[in-house]
Amino acid sequence: MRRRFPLLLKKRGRRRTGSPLWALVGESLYYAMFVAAGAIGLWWSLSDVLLPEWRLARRAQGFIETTCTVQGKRVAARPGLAEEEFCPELEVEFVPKNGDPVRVWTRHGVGRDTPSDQEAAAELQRFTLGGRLDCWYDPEDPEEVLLSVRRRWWPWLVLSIPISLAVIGGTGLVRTLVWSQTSPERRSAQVAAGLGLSPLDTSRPRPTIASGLPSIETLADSPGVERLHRLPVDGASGWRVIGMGTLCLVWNVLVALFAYQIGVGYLSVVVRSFVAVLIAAPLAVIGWRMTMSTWRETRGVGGAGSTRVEIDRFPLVLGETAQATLLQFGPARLRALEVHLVCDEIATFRQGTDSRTATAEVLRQSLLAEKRIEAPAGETLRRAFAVPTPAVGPHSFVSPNNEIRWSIEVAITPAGRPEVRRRFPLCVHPPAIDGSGAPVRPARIEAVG
Amino acid sequence: MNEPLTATDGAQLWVDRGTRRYAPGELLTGGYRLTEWREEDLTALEFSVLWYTAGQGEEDFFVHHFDRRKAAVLPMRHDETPYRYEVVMPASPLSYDGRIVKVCWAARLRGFFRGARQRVVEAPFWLSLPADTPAASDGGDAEATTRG
Repeated sequence: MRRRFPLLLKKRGRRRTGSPLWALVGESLYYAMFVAAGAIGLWWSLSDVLLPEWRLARRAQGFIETTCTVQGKRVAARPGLAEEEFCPELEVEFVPKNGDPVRVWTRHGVGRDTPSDQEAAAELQRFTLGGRLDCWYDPEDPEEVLLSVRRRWWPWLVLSIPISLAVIGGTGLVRTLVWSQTSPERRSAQVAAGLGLSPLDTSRPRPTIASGLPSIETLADSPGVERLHRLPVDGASGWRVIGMGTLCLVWNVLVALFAYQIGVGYLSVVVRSFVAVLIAAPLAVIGWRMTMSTWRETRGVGGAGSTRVEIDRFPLVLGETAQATLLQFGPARLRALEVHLVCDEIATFRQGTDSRTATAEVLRQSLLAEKRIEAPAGETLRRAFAVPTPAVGPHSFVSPNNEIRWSIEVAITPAGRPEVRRRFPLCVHPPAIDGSGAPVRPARIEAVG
Repeated sequence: MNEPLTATDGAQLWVDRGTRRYAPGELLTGGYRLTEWREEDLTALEFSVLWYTAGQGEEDFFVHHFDRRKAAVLPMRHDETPYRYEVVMPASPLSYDGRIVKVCWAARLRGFFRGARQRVVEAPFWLSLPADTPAASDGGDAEATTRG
């Protein structure tokens, strides 16, 4: 079972290393750090920013508005949460009612505290010495002066950071503690109860997390033309081409920008030649090879027209033979056409901080093999074939980290082009069992429309 | 019928069928005795029937049957009459011994003791179609593990 904090308890291939106790301690400390950081940030935000501002805003309701003159500017340093902070301040002079002129330094309404003294100094540039500003002062203590009575909104936004840290850490800590107090079997039973999975419903295979059978719902929406169901094509190769194309594009654009920078002439001719030969040229070669690989992959995915496989039943059942039809649209001349029934085991595991997937082919059975096919131009190539599933063998199985995947693989080799392989995932169920232990006919998806 | 195999680590757990082969829809029966666990400050007991994956991937598992009892409600059995269990086996997943993916079934007894100690005994069995050939590991040794 995978832990969220895998550094101290991990699986290396088939081996498991580490200690569950230290994994628990490490995970607890990890989340405790989030809680501590959130608590410190929350305390600082409240005590240093929000509460003083809130108190000042309440007192400012009784302040008297007047005008003042800017007499001086400075950047004052004060201790912050992690490092020294700088705050822009103005020296202002004003005349309170029934009193003598008052000259005082104020930072309220001047600018925000910042870790950069240059940024604080920049805040002061919008004020000019001798300039007149609105201000509000406390009639009981004229030394307390504000240049703005507007309440700032950003401290409340900043508050979301420590709150998020505290919530993430607290949730993780509670989860870790709950996990340490409950067994994995009990948690699994709670999941089953939460999903309403009844252990009594055992006679028929049903795609649930408990049965380990993959879902077959999407097949109900794909009726075929020649047969009852049309199998969906495995889209992994299409996504691979999209990923390769994107990477290729980004790489080549960066190389082009780099070449442009060399060509513009910031560098001397000697240095420019040196950089072009030793750095830009290898990068351009890599970009060219990536482009060629992407082109080959694109031809492999889309270069043999479209392929469709239709089948007369879904899901398949171990030991039964289904009838299927291959429909090939596109090139009329094929050097070879092969169809195989394939069963793969797929295991996902963590190696270090990476998540790896291992695949092992455990069965490959030829269903159809033809060479040198000349189909009439413009017509669809049709080939019927049988799909016999072994009576003794694995059924389709899927769990979060492990899978047994059955599929029909079609390998097409058009004349003058490389071979293209397309896979159509199948769902193979174990036979349902009646009360006497004899297999019964399983439920199937009915045709739609 | 062969003698039932027993997993022991202070407690005994077994499935009745000595070949340990069961078919979907069949009744899995067996029993367990707590023996030494009673004298070790047992606080709670969990019995489960579950499948789990083994092999190269991370372990996945799911509990088919689960029963938890606090030690206080366990009847005293001085004569050590075994506790019996009966579970109807589901249609899937069937046991599988593949190259990098294995699906295993087991009855598992987990004892919770004072001091946050846990001890686990496990009795594996094979869930397969009647015609299916048992794997090489069928009838292998029962496992008993202790967790502190």
